[in-house]
Amino acid sequence: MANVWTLTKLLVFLRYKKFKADLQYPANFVSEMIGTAFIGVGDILMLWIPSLAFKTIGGWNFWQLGFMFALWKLAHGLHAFMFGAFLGHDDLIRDGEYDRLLVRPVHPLFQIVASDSWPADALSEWIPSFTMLLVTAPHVQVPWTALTIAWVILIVISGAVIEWAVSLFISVFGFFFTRTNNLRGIASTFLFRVAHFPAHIYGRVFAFVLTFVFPYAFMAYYPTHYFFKLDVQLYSTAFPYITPLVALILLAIAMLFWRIGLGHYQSTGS
Amino acid sequence: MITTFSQWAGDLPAGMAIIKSHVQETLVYRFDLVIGLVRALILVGVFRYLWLALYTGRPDVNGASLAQTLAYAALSLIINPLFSNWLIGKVANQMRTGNIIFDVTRPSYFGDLLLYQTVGQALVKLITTSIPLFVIVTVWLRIALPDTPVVWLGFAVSLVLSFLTAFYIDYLASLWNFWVTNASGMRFAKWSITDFLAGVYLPLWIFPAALQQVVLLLPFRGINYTPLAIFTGYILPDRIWPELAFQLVWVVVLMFVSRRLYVAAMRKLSVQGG
Amino acid sequence: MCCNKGQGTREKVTRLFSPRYKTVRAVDGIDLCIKRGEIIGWLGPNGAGKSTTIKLLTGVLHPDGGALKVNNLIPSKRRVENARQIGVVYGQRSQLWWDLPLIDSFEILKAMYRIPPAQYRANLDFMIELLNMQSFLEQPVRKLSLGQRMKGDIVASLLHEPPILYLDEPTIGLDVVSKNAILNFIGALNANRHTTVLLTTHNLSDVEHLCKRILIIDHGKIILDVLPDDLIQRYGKQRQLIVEFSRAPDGFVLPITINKAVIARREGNKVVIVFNRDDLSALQLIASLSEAALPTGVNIVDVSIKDDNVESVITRIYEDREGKGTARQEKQAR
Repeated sequence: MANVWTLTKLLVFLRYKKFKADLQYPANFVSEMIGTAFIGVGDILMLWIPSLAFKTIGGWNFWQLGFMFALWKLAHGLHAFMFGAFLGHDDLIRDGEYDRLLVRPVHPLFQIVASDSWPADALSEWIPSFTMLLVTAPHVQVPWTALTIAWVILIVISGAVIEWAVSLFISVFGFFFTRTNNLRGIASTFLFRVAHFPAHIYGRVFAFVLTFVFPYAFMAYYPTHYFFKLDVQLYSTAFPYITPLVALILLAIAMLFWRIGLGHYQSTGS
Repeated sequence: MITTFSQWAGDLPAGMAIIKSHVQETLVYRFDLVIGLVRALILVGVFRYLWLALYTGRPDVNGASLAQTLAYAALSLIINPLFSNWLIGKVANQMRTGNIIFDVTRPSYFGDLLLYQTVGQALVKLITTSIPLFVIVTVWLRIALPDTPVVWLGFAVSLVLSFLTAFYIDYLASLWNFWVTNASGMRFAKWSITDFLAGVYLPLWIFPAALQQVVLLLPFRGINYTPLAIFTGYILPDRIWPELAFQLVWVVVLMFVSRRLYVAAMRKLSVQGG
Repeated sequence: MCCNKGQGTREKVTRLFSPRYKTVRAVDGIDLCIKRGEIIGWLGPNGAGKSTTIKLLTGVLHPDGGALKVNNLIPSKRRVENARQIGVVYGQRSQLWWDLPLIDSFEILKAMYRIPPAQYRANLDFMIELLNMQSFLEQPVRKLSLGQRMKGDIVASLLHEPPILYLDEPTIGLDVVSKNAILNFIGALNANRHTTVLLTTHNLSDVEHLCKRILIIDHGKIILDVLPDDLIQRYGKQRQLIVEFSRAPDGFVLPITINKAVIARREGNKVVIVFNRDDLSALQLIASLSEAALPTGVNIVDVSIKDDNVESVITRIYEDREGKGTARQEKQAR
């Protein structure tokens, strides 16, 4: 297959072309961005109001909560930008688009990743989250060096990959003649619970699910412990440091499952 | 005799096929319903933990006890799906496919048409989801039920008024579609604003005092907050009727404003043409 | 290229109450060899296994058995390499980017297939010229007519100059002008570059003009593999004589002397008679008819003759097979 550089160039090229197409409707673009910015505001209020009323939540103060939220939302926004197209995976199979993907000399997953443009909601999710990051950054207990910043970036990327790995895994069920919307619904129910509040307040069962079933707690909750030197209350003190590893493992599992699903699709047709 | 039997036997495969496809459809639908119930229960559980964690060490916040907040949180998730939140997308779809032309040229008023449809959907949800969830949750979480008929009556009336308030706000927002070709941004904004101001996830009583006063003036409190505040007893029985009146006033105002806006929308539509 | 397919792909039919699977062979023991530069017409009734075969050839589906090679590659095993040597056009689904100008779709594909710029330019200019596409290159695809879009899809599939081209119902719904332009283009392509073409279509007239070889598939098996002329030779003996009388001949019955001809239908003053050219000549038929008509006071006003073409022959082959099918069903029902 081609080398990584050629693929990246192709991805940028494809996304740019799609972006151009979306810009043909500027009113829609702007309206969507403003609308989704409101979600960000709503999000922040969701953790600000309770922290005003209760001072700490699960022992975490507003700065810690805000930082965790920022990490999560940056990752979530990055996921929407890079991998949002997988929400329509069922349709790709149903409409026969997958055949078209298979007939081109480029990896099908890459084609799906490359098909989406820069959705307006990705940008608008970055603005409130980036602001939040800047606001809470001064309160962090770890010195801000180039290394720390690199670590934040790595966590955000890993977080997006974790969210994608789950989404990809769920998408594969579409190859087996199942609709995936129910599973996605359940996954997203858990996804949004790690955004505002620390996972350890949810009791043993939910904390387990958020760590080992839908490992969204690794997106922001666990990493935040390092930045504020917090005591780890769940499972292992190593967890704040293994987010990138978790991302790689999950992605490997999801890709393997995808291969299996594709194999099934290719022996039965539809 | 034999010919009719063989005729019937000949028709049997066709009949079976129809039955089978209906059963499959219903099974899929049922499965979706069950998953919906599961998701709702997960959310109820999750928020229960949240409020328990938040309240540790304090008896009440702004006059609301832990029990009241827990009850509010659980029931909010159950009654919220009854309230219209999908009209923006629906009208957007009609606009896109061009079917809007049928909706607005019917003898009955467009708003009424949507209202009937929304009522229908709400009733289905009530029967298939809300009532079962209500029963499950109140038993599971041992939620204290109101002890006087006045409160039950107030709750029921308030729910109806909540439904209407939510409908007219959603309807107003959906009219935005006549001015913009893609209203999905508006949809996100509407959801966030409404969820916040109606107290869907955060009971309005935990808002800081100044903010609370402003929010309580707005119609949104009439969506989730009022019926639940009545049910949990946060609003005392003698204050129920003024609360309901407040809801009613807003419903009338919204109804009036939406009619006016609809007329303006129709003018816009006829100017634009097809 | 030579391909040999054995047993075919299975499709699952799940039952509601018991998860038992009934296997249906969509492609069942096809033995086929297609040479470079051939233009093949790939026909068959719906559900016969046409698209399944295309999916097997393009590498989308894995065969359950047998051997399949395209240009010495096994498509499903070396998907990417196979993809570079094929172009695929699905008549009912466009691969073009809907909101972008047509030319942008070509640019994107150029990047995907890593076509060298000089080759891309030359090839594109050649095809645009031939298909007369200059006027709508900059238009977004969603604004194009069906004919324009189809031309776009065909060009898109050929940008990387594949030696093999699969066309799945490319002329469906097209107006005559566009259809002819496209068919001529493909013919020119085949003549110039010896591109091997596999054309699936329901428009049998396409096949007549373009294809050098006709394959008919039904119930997963190839039932016919002939040249168009041979088809006519072997199966196209039927002729239709359309006789217009001076007035509607009531109770018209064919003279006993003509026992090989059959009255197909009547339309007012006209009678359509079907006969086999081996049994009877048109001249004999007309002579016998006017003899028979004379006593009744009816005259023959006009006469025309219609010969079999590929279309009518194939329609008849389908109908015959349908007939066999229904006859079997009736037997079972009794």
